[in-house]
Amino acid sequence: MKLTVIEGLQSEIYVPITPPPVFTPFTKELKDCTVALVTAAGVHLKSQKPFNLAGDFTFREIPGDTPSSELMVTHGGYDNTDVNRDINCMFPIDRLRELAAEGFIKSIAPVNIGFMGGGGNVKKFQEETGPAIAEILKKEGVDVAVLTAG
Amino acid sequence: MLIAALPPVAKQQGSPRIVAPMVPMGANVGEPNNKVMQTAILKDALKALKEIDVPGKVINLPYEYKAKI
Repeated sequence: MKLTVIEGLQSEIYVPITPPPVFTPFTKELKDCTVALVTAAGVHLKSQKPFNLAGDFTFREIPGDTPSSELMVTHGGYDNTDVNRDINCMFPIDRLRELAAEGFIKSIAPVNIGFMGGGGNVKKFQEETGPAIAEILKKEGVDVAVLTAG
Repeated sequence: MLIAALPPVAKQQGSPRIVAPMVPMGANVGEPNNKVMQTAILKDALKALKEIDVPGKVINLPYEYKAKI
C-alpha cells in the first residue's frame, strides 16, 4: 500500500503524545515495603478544603491512620455513587492497613495523597503537583505508591 | 502501580505499571463494601510489581464488578 503524504497536514483532533514512562526497577520484598496510596479520585479529609470542581491542581495529605469515616470525595468527573458508599473502592486505606497487619507489606505510609484528576492544568500537574507529591513520598521513606485513576 | 478502570487511557498517559480489573471508573479497587474483592485486587496489584518488568505493561485482573448506577 502506498501512503499519501502531505507536508504540513495536521489533524483537527488533538492527540496527546504518550510521554516516556518513568520506570524504577522493583527490587525489595513486599513484606519490607512501606506503601502509599495516591489517588486522582478527589479524596480528602472531611476537615480539609474540598477541591474546586472547575479544575484544581492542588493536593491533600492524608495521614495513614485516618479512619475511613473521616474521608470524602470532591470530584465532578466520574459517578461518585460507589465511592460515597465505600471510600475503599477508590482509596483502599482500610484494606492496605489490613495488609500491613497481616505482614503482606511492612506498613502504610504516614502520608498518603489525594488530588482531583480528570483535566485541569495538566502542565501544573506535570511540573509542580507531581514532583511535589513525589518529594513528600520520598521524604517519608515510601517504597511503593499504589495509584487509582483512569 | 496504577489500578486502572480504563487501561488504554492509562497506557496512553505513560503509566509505567498498570493492573486492570474489570471495573467501572469510580470503583477501581472493586465493589463497594466487598472486602474480599478489594483485598484481592490490592494484593494482585502489589504482586504485579515483580511481574511487570517492562514499562507500560498491563496485567488484566480476573475480578469483575458491574455498577448498578
